Amino acid sequence: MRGTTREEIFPLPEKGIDTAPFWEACNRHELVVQQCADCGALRHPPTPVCPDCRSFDVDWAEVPGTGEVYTYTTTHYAASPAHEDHTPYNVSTVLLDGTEDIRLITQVVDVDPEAVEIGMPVEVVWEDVNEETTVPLFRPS
Amino acid sequence: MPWNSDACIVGLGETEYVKQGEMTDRSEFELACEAIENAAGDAGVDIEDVDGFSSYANDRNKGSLVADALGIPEVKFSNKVWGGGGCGGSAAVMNAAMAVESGAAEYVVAYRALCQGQFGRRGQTQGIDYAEGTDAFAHSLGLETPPQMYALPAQRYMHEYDVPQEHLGHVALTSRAHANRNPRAVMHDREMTMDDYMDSPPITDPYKLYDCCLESDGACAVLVTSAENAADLPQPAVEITSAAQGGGPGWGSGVLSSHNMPLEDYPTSNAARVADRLFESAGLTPDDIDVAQLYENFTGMVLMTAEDYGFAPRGEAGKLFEDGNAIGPDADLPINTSGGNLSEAYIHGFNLVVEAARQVRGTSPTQVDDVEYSLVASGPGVTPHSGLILSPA
Ligand SMILES: [Zn+2]
Repeated sequence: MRGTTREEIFPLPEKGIDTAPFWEACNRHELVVQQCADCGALRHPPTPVCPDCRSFDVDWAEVPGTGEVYTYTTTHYAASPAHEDHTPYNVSTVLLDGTEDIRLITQVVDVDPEAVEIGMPVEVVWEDVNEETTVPLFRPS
Repeated sequence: MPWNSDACIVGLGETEYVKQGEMTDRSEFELACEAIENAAGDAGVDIEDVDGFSSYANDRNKGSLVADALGIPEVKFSNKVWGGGGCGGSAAVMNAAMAVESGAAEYVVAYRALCQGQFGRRGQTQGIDYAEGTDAFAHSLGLETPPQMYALPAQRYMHEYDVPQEHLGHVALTSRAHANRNPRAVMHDREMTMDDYMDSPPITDPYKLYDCCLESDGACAVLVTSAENAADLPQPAVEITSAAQGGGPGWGSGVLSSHNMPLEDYPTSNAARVADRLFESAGLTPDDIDVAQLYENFTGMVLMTAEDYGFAPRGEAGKLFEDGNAIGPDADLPINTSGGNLSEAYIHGFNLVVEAARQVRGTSPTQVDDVEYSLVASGPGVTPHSGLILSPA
């Protein structure tokens, strides 16, 4: 079946013990990254242990929600019937401001996908998928 | 510590390879059994003497079940390499060799069976409603399929080193030229020119249709035993001269979901550390390699793998392939000589292991003269990457 809403096209995130705080912050339209409560190192995607100091104590740091396109792809093919009316679309990794090297996989929207390029400055735009789930997408800033 | 096993590959087994969906008379499980039987038969080893089973990735055909189906009297080793994609192909052979070397088992078969037509195509999503754990940070945010996942490092690689699209195209042309010398290849008798490549439909930039591996049905296997046993068997023994598996920090899910590998490592195949160990352990350098099978799920990764292995400086692997440089037995370094994942069949790259062994035996459809060292590099971009150097025993 062809998809029209995001919920029909892409799978929803399952909120696990390690990952729920990220998605709950998204619901509040806050972009957060896991931060070691002991050494302060940022990490993503979420894990229960700090790979720098092995601490199990976790904080979450809010980041500005801006960054630049680190790499991207323009997807032209439909990976399922649900995707058929959605192509072409962008998928990017965005290097987040306020971090040294944290990248978030996301989609750059509100622009012709063919116009997206490496180094493009972008800002978060929140897409409320349904009542339980909001995802961080980005648009040129 | 150098690799200090003298275990050998003594049997090669393959089923026929067909386009995904065309294998309608036999199940994937049956193909696994058939490939294993063929490997034992080729080796001249009684199937009842096979006592170990080794596979990788998400092979559905568990060693324990395959052993039951084949009437194996006693299983002594059954093992699967963790990790995504075809990265564990060489590692499955390495584990088989370690089982033999330790005495845990005597005849260990490493194998992979894959019928995408029976279980869902890799290039398609499977209609799941929820993505779990780390996968949610990819799938729920738009990054769902392997061509997309592997497009991201390729795009960054091309940006950093100013690599033209044609360099990817030459990788595809190389595999196709070799498939045209291989009657067993799915794409045999299908010539490809650079124009064909450039005109092929865009899939997900920078990948066009011909940058992407096939989706296939089939199975293959290699039988591993000690050098002592190998000496008494009819086929020329293929020594596992060096074997290595692993990867760098942050590459656990790598391109399959994390994409937070160290920035300096990002436009690579996560293969450099394994390659260094592989060569060091054997006391060899890239110049010593006579023929190479470099896993090609997508063309861009082949370039990065070739660079990780030291066959070319960063950003310049395209020169290994351009102007037909890697095509045919007389090439400086013939690469992917059976047609590989791109043009022979996508058996999760295990067919590349079989081809690497054939080159040592002297039975490749693109046979290189006097092969002393035959290298195979299994999948890129996650941990474990794995590789083997094979040579005449
Ligand atoms: Zn820490």
